[in-house]
Amino acid sequence: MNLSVSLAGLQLATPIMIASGIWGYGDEYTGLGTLEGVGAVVLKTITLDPCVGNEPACRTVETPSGMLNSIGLENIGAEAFLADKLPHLRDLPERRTATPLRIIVSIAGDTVDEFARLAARLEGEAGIDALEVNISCPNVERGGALFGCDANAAAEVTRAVRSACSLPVIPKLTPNVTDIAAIARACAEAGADALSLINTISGMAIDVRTQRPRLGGDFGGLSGPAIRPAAVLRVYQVAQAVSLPIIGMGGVWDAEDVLEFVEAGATAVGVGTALFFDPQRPRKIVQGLEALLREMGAEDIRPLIGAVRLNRGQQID
Amino acid sequence: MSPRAAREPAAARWLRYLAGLGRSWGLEPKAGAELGFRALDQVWMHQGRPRFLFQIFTGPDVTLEGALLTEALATARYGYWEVIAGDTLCKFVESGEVAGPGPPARSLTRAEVVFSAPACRGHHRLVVRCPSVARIAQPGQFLHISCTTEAELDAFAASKNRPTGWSGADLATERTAKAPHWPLLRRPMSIHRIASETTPPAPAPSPVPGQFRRLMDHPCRTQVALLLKLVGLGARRLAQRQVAEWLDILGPLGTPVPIADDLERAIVIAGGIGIAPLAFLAEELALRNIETHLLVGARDRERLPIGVEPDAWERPLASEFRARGIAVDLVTEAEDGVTVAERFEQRRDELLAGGRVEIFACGPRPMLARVCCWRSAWRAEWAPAGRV
Repeated sequence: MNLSVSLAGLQLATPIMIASGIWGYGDEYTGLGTLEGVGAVVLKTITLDPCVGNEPACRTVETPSGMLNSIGLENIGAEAFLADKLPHLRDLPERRTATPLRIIVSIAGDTVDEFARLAARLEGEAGIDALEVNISCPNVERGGALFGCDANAAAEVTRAVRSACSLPVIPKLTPNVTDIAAIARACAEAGADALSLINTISGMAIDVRTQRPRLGGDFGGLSGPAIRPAAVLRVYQVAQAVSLPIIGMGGVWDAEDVLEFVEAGATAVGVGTALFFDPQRPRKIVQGLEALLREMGAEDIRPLIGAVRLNRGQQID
Repeated sequence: MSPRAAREPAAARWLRYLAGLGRSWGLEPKAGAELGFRALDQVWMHQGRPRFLFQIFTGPDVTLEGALLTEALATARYGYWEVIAGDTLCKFVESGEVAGPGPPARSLTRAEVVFSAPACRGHHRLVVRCPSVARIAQPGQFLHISCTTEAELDAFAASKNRPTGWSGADLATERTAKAPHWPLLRRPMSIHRIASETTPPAPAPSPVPGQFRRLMDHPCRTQVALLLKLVGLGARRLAQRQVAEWLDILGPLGTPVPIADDLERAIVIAGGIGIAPLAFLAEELALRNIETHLLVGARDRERLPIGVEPDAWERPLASEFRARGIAVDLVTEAEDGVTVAERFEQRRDELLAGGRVEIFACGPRPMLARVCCWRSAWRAEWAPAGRV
């Protein structure tokens, strides 16, 4: 049974990834067995300077089959990350295997120049395998999703990061646009090595009795199973538009969900919100994936990438 | 440094703490069982905590008290100790805890519900048996608890791709009609109290070294009590858990409340559900021989979770606290006509007089604002409101 996939020149032990913002920099999940079965982790987005994030009171709200969050890119900044977090991460025991755990650093900035400077700073640091370029955070006013909502701006950021470093560059796309395929094409032409999608869908929840938004930051990003069908469609649309490998994510819980993304066109699949419920999801997903593939008579997951066949235009026998 | 703190070396202060811990398990040295401690001159800091080598002496026969005390020490988070039973030296070196990074600070575990009953109007008390958490939990920490039962998860897995969804059967009922088709997120619940088993382990018959080890496999601190305020679906579902059912627990999580080494007096102010974490804190403070004043406020008597009524363990909680030397002041708006913050203001001069004092408060924002308005340097809900 082969679950190993290749993504932007990186060999992953399994197609299961941990989506950005869930695992933090790993400290909080020590000793919980979260990394078992994981091919790559995407770390919480960092910026050049530390960022305090949004209103601390109430940053998450549970919604039907999902949750809203409004963290606002709180992070310790690039220098503290490199000094305090990266040494520990690069020495993880999971990094010493034949196909080591890949570490992908998510980066963000307010300006194109900030993205480029941050990428240049991370260049050459041992332990970083790729950069995810967060041009889709819905929870910051400047930068963030502004880049991801405009094809030219997305391309500009991608190009700047591309020329600032030699690491694989993976823009993360927002679903909060009219035509995600156009953004994907622009990123591909600007030199992206892979694409990551989707970031959260922007949303809002209101306490009707107080007439106040439930989130301290008023608006947030929706994640969890509620968004999975929307995410699968976006992955399909982008897979049709570009030939880059895709990291698909949005509401993944089990092996069937993973395969749904894979068949829509994803090479690897991110797990996010489900980890809040069950930190050992990745191991269970991998076990389920092996059983599912066996049941389907498949020996390898790779032929299933993009294997979906539409009903439209099919002859009815 | 206060005069008392200056006189006492750190090890002696910690020994006082240990003695208090022993007393909390009902241990008193008996005649003939010469129970005692001796701290060796080896005190060092490890991960921000004082660690020291000490010896415990018992009489010629190892008494129940001696054995229990060993267990109490096993839960006391100081990694290195020796037990001298009669002439036999039983040496326990928890080298892993002293030299290494120590056991994982948290775990993902299943915990059996041993008690589940309403605590007062709108509040529910759950007690779970969870030694891995109980042994290491500190005041201010919380548990992340799954609100979904294993049966529900199985049903979800079996039917998730069917059009009706797993909660279809529940659609007729009022609250679950809006239940998501997805297991609810974990709910953070403050650790309310830590308790021992009601039945103490059998006395050790002879002072053989292995005996202690066996007993230490059943350390005293095994149970975790939670106080749930019944707002929202998650807490309501947790409150439906019955004795002998299981909870899926992640913890202990969160930053413990810092307790200064040289603290002499503490004022603990809890408003409403704020008592959930502060009950544990007050007990810990009392264990450390810190003079503790606990002010508990609620809207009315019915909503006072730590009342004069017998509590979950069939004991009157407030009087139990008083028996441990905690000065408890129960305040209800309906009966007393003042909020707990106003009571604090009334008694402020008296409470703050003398000694090095810190204020710990948890409760609704207006209460916190009022408690700290006399001080400008308020930092956060968890931070001590100030030192005098």
